[in-house]
Amino acid sequence: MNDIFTYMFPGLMMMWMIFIGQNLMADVYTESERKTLPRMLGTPVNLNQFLVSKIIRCVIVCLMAEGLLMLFTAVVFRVRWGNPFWLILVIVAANLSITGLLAVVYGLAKTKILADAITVVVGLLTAFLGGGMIPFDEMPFLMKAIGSWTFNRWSVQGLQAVMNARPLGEITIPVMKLLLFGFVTTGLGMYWMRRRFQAGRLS
Amino acid sequence: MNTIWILVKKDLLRDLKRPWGLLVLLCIPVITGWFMALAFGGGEGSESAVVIHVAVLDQDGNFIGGMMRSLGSQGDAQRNLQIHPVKTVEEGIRLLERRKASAFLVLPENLTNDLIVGVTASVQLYKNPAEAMLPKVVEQGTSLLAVGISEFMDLLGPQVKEVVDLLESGTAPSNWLLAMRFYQGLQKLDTVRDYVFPPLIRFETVAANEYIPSASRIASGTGGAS
Repeated sequence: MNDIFTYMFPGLMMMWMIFIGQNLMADVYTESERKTLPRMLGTPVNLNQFLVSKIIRCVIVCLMAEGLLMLFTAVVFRVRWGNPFWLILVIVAANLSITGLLAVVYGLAKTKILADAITVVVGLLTAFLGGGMIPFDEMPFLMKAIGSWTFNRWSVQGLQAVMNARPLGEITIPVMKLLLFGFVTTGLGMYWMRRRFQAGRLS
Repeated sequence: MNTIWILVKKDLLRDLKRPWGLLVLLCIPVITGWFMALAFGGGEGSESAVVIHVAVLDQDGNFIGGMMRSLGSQGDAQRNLQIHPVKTVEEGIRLLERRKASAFLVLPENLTNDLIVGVTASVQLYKNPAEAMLPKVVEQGTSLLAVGISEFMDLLGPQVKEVVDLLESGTAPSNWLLAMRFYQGLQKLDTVRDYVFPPLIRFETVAANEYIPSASRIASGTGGAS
């Protein structure tokens, strides 16, 4: 069972991180609804700082959640997660890409409810295509081809490379992809969210 | 940067005050992963967990019947095969209906004698309709066994007949006679050795100078090891 668990769990973990991150990212709009955001903006805090703080918080909380999951699975299911340094590097990069994706969704969606719905669809779809629900190697060619371009797949590749103590090249390539994806999407997401807040579209 | 850190700290402290939502969300991937692992890979020690229960009605009561009944207690089969001897067809079918057996095998009367004299014999197999895979495994296994026994009887039919006759006569055979029958059996088996144990792949460890003829010349020429 341990082998299957080791094979499937990283993908599942990444899928659920999207849903955990979703609650955290939605907090941007909850602050606005509860009128705490305008009060905060009345202080020396500006909108950029507020958004960056939310993104950092999302990365940190996901990191803590993943840490708890890894600890639990290592103790209970005897999953060997590999070198902690590389592991932290991979999951930080993965969390950045999750946060970036969520920032884009919450920045572009017209309402918070729509953003929540899109996140569920995106989360499930990327997890499915990225091998978080069914073994990636057993998927048809077309699905594999699409799945290879999902952040979920890169995260799983990175995590499994660390778990199997693969050469550094096999770890750094998915990490670079995740970081690039994460920085680009975070930048875009922040830009779109800022535009929304500045335009007063806060529903 | 300090302002950002204060904002992050405020949010994190708020999260720590109400961690239950997060913890519940964390339980879901663990449970899902566990169920998936169970579904795809089985539990710990799942290799020996699959046991096929087969009810057997031995109407033959002779050499072949006894051999087939004893399959469940030999080699690896004793881990994965459980034979349930029954006395009537009804009893066997009842076991199937109660899902206590995956299949029910009926060995007909005079099976051994029919095989010895070359009369076609047939065994009956009842498969449990409530199961998908295991009855098919039994069916395949029975087919394989039938082929094996047919070939075995083709080859060693006379020897088996003599053994059966000896057993049925009730007299104790002499050691010489038993040794002769055993030797004759071995001789017959020797003729089909290449078919039963085909030498498809053979590993041999040889020294380099034996494998490469020139290596020995190099070794002797230079005086070094090869």
